[in-house]
Amino acid sequence: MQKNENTPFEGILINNERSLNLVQLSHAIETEHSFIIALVEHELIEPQGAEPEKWQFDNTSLKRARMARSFYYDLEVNLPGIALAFDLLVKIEALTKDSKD
Amino acid sequence: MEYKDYYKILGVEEKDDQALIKKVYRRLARKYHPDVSEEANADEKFKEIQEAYQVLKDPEKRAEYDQMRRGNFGGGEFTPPPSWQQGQRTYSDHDFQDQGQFSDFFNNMFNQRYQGAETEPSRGQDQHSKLSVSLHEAYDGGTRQLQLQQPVVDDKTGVVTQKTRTINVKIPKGVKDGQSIRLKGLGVSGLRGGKPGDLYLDVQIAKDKHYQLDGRNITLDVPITPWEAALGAKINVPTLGGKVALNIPAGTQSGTKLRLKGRGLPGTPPGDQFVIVNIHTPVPTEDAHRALYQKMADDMAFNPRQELG
Repeated sequence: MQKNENTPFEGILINNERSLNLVQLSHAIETEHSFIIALVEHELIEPQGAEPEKWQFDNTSLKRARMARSFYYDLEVNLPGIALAFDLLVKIEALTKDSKD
Repeated sequence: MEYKDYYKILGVEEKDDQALIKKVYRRLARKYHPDVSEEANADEKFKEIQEAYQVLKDPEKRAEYDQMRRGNFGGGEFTPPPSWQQGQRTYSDHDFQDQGQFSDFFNNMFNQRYQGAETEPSRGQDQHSKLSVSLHEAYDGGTRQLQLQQPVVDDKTGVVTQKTRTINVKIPKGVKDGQSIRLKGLGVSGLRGGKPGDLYLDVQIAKDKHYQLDGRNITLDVPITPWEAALGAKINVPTLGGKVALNIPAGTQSGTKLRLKGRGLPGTPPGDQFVIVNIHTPVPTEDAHRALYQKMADDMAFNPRQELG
């Protein structure tokens, strides 16, 4: 049934050129499309493309969407709260980087 | 299999009510959330807390767990009682898929049999795993063997087992820290003939002993001699792709940053390697060497502290 698993599998690198559509992103973070749409509406993630059918999400969106899902379900934070947490995380990252330089 | 004391994990007691357990869970979840926590092993700890809460928040699961826990059990290694094999529960697809992330103990106790109410094929869950690669692997690319724990359900009997699957994956050349690799169809198997999910590997580039990484750029501290700094020199410096010649201009000071274009991680455009030079002063151990320093002190009028006043 399975192919020879000694042959190395080649994956697709998610970056700005190769990205995920709405269905793939929903699967990747195990959520409904409506949750992804809400994330876009709250500007927590930014797709390329005008309408949901044409949306393409890069690696940053994948990471942020996973984090948002976990904050929403595991920590019971609402979407504006997640937006605030993301802003603060970006600030912390910048400060940590500054203090290292 | 290892026994899990869910009360101990959450730091609560059997007499505590649901409201308190929820409160404690919330506090611990914030503390150990892997995206914000500074604690060591936050990832594992968070999973453990989630598993414990999953059981203790549900009155039915909690009652079942309490009953087992009271049965004179001391902890450590645990052999499930035969009654665990007889459970005939009905679970939704979602329950089945959730168990991928929990311990064998949890899976044995609560998901011994899967008898889904659904009849349609259902796509398997996507799985996420971390992949730590060295800087050299990120530069050269390579192959890595991974072991994945995946729940597998027997379509006929409904018995769920955790299987270890060994796969080899290619590490793409020039992969960046924090990037994800998507491997189609290598996630959890589908149900009733459904397609398998995908596997996402989140790449973390491990800290290197010598190089510091920033995006695709790398920085290396290189020691040089006072005469190389003063007179200028051509020195060999290591890069990820092998040694290259670097020109040290005459009059270079410690801390000077020199750039080797395109010698960072590959990509479009490739990163650069920065070399920060540090002048190392030899300690004179012979009279002749001390005389050389003394001659410099006598002949060269140099006060590096002039600006300090």
